[in-house]
Amino acid sequence: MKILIFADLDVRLIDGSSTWLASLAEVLSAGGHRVQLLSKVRFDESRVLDRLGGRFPDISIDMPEDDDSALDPNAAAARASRLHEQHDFDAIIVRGFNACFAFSKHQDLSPKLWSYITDLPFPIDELSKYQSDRLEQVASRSFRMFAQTEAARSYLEAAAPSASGKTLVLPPMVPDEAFESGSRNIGQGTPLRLIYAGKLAKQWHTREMLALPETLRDRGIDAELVVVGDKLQHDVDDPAWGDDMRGALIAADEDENSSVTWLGGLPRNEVLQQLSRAHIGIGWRSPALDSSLEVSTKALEYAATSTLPLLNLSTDHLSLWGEDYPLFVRSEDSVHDVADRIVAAMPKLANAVASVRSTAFDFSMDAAATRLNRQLVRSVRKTPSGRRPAKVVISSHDFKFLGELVDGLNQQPDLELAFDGWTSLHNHDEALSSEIKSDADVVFCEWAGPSLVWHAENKVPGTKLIARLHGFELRGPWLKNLMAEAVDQWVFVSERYRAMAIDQLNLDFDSTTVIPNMIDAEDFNRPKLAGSGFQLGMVGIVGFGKRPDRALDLLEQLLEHDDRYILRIKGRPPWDYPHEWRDPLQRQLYLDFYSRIRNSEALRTHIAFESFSPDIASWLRGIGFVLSPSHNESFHLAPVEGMASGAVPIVWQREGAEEIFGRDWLVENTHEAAQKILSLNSNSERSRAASRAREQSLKWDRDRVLQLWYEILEVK
Amino acid sequence: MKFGTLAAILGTIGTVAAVGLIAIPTLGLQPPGVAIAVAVLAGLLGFNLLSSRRQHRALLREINRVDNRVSRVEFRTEPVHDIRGSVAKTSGGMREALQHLKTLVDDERPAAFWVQSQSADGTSVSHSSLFAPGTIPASPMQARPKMHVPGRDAAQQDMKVSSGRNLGHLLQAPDAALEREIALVGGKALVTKLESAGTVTIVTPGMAENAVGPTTAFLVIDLETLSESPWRGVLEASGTRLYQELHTAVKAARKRGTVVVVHGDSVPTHFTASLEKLAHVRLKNNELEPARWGDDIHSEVIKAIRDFEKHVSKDEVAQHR
Repeated sequence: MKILIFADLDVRLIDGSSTWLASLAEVLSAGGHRVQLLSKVRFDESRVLDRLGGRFPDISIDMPEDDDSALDPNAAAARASRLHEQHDFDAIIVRGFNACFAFSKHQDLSPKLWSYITDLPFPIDELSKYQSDRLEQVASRSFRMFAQTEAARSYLEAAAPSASGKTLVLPPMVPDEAFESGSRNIGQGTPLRLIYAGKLAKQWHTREMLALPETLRDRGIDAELVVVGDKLQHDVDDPAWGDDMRGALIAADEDENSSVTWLGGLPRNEVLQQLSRAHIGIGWRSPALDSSLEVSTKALEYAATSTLPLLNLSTDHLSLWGEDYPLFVRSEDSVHDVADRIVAAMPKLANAVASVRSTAFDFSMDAAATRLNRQLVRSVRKTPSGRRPAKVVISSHDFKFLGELVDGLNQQPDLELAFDGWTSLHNHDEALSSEIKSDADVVFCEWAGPSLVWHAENKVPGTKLIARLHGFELRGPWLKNLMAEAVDQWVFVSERYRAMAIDQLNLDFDSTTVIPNMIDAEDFNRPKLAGSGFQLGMVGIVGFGKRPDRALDLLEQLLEHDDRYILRIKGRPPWDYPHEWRDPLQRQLYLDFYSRIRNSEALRTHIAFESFSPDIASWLRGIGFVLSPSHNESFHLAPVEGMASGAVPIVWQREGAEEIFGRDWLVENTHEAAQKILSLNSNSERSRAASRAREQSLKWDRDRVLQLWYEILEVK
Repeated sequence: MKFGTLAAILGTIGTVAAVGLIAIPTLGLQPPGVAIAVAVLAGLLGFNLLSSRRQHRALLREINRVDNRVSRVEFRTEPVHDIRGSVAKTSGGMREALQHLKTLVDDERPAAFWVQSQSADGTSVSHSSLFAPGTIPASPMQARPKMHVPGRDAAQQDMKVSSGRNLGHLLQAPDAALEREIALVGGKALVTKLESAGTVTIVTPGMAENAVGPTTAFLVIDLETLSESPWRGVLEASGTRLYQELHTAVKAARKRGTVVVVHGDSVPTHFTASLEKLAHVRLKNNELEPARWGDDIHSEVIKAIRDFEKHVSKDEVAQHR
């Protein structure tokens, strides 16, 4: 593949961002891709990029002609546009909010744009409406987006709904040479070696840590501290801090009894050498950094060199390094507290080394290359064969189930996609629909609604008409006007509905096929949050056939055994659907549902109503059991998505449920549902059940289901 | 002349006139005086409501305008790094203040849900029932901005009223608002059970249209006890006029959003099928029709009728009669 990379940074400087750029180019080139780097500045020498020279002939660099002017984001986008015209890139990776925004404005670039916004305003109250609108524009126009961590992905998807489903995690990359060092003995006649490598900053407690060797000595541990780095970060609130820090460092370095050595700034390979000699790398920092969405590359580099990182206790760190990791400190700890924690951890340090190194391997270049290649192959459009592309028109009033299909069809080189968007189930611009379908090879009606009736009636000879029937259409009065013989291929989401439609519409069996709904299993495969085993999730409670009242019954039964269970209901309330709310009986059933919660202290305090949003994969991270108490469903995507996320599905027995979910997840009634959940949680079987569910969900993954679509669309 | 000034002048004239007419009995014009006083009070109340709504709207417009200006300043100053930071901090503070103002305005908007009313003696207070068909309104959708964007985003909707508003009112409803109003056409056998689910009004011929009002949540028609009630003969051709009254009342109730339940088994006669057609729910021999959401749906009223069927034997029913 041909890939263009632009990062809104100066490659003449050595810092985390420029190192990232070089690492990304290296990883992509190693994966066999042709990489074009567009530099923001003209340079004769770049220490970060020079190391690529020669080793990776498939990396070429484009830079501005003028020495004096750096490319601003708009100029960079314009230059990228010209490069794209010459090279026809398969993917364009851009880093930096302003740059991503500038690139997203170019219609030729945006379909290939992979945006990586590291300077996202955070927390959410820092995100003004202006920035929020810009972010949403980038998200909606980008082909894919990157986020550094799961937390960053969740935040991005919440801040910019269009990012949901298209955001991939791109963790920081630790260079291979960091992994070259071997393990070291701890506490066997040698002093405990502490190291800090990085900026000298108040937020990193660099002033306080100088007292650590002495404080440890007071506790009977012979220790020394090596400080690497010469960049003093100015502190706005404490202007004298910089001078104080420098003075303290010099004094400590000159004082033989301090056991502190300050090496100043060192080349990267020498930094790694120093790391590989140390036992503990210090990553103790202020509370402000605890809320960061990013993983500390400093800690990862310590770990890669078999140096144990000493870290602040935070949920992200617990999740990454494990709850048993011995070197957690609190940001507000004093140097005495930190010393006490090190002393307490001493017996466990030797055993922890292998574990942290293994964690760091997930961030190696090798792991990054594998991950990126998989993401590129899964996403990027295939090479055209040179044939005339077949034109496929998708006609629908509701495109919510079409995300993965359209994404997959867009990857097909010999296919031209067009959309006949109806303004409602019944209404459309007839002239526009006629024009769009006039030269179509295939017309696909997403719903067997009035649009199918119209396309059947106005079918052009030679056009293949395909219809998908989801379920509700069978009750539609329009079907009696349908010229069913004009439909070449019927698609159903389940066998049960195929049988019902054949029976009702008198269809020829050979013209029918079953293709299940599909999911992007990789997008849903995210780590679960702590405590998710007691969180029951229900997505969508409208119409009443979804049976939210059964979920209340279940919750009541579970709460009799364990107070920790919470029911999380996600989706719109029934009054947001006026046609449903107007049904008097249904409205009363919902009012009973809500008044039941209103009247019960137990229910009221154990239910969370969460509004509709597209970031369902992020939401599912907090869900351990996904409920499907429906009385009737043609498929029910919500539990399938839950399964892909690693939640255990609880599906009430109903007609057709076994065909889709198998026997494993079915329950006859609410009592059985409660017993199943309690039993899975009491004997720690839940994670095994979740793995089985996740494994099963792969049969609905887009890569498999798309093949079925390609067959009926005759896409080679 | 401003609308407010005109209202003040008219109000003053009206008040003086009303006081004069009431205070001088010899004129014999006290009833018109009371009428004028009531009209003035109603007018002032209406004016106050209109005026506060107008003020809120104006304030909201101003808040949005300031917000847009802030966005424009951010846009213009964005390329200049030093200014950008300062603007971001200032605009952050301003937005916080604007948000606070917006919240205050929202909180001050009159809540239409739990309308309090005084009884005739001026002491007791009642609330409109949560279960009354019009209490919790539907939230009209304003737009589906991404309806043609493939994927979950297509389901995004801009609503006219925040969805959380109804939810808040439902979950914080005062106890008095939790009373269902149930109208019963039939004998008294069902009353006790139905009273476990709400306040029961027995509807009799001649008052059907008024007895089933806009706050009635359920209208239960008990076929088994019709003959024991003043509706005896309503389903026979000979009771056509009676049936017409019932039919009109049921149709009106349906139109207002009242749930119509037809309960019980009876020997079919001329209008039985016609009446059953009007039912949202048919409960016969403990079977629910239609059972499109399952037979075990949780409904207090249906449960009460089922309990009646379950626990009261035919003999007991006869005793009740």
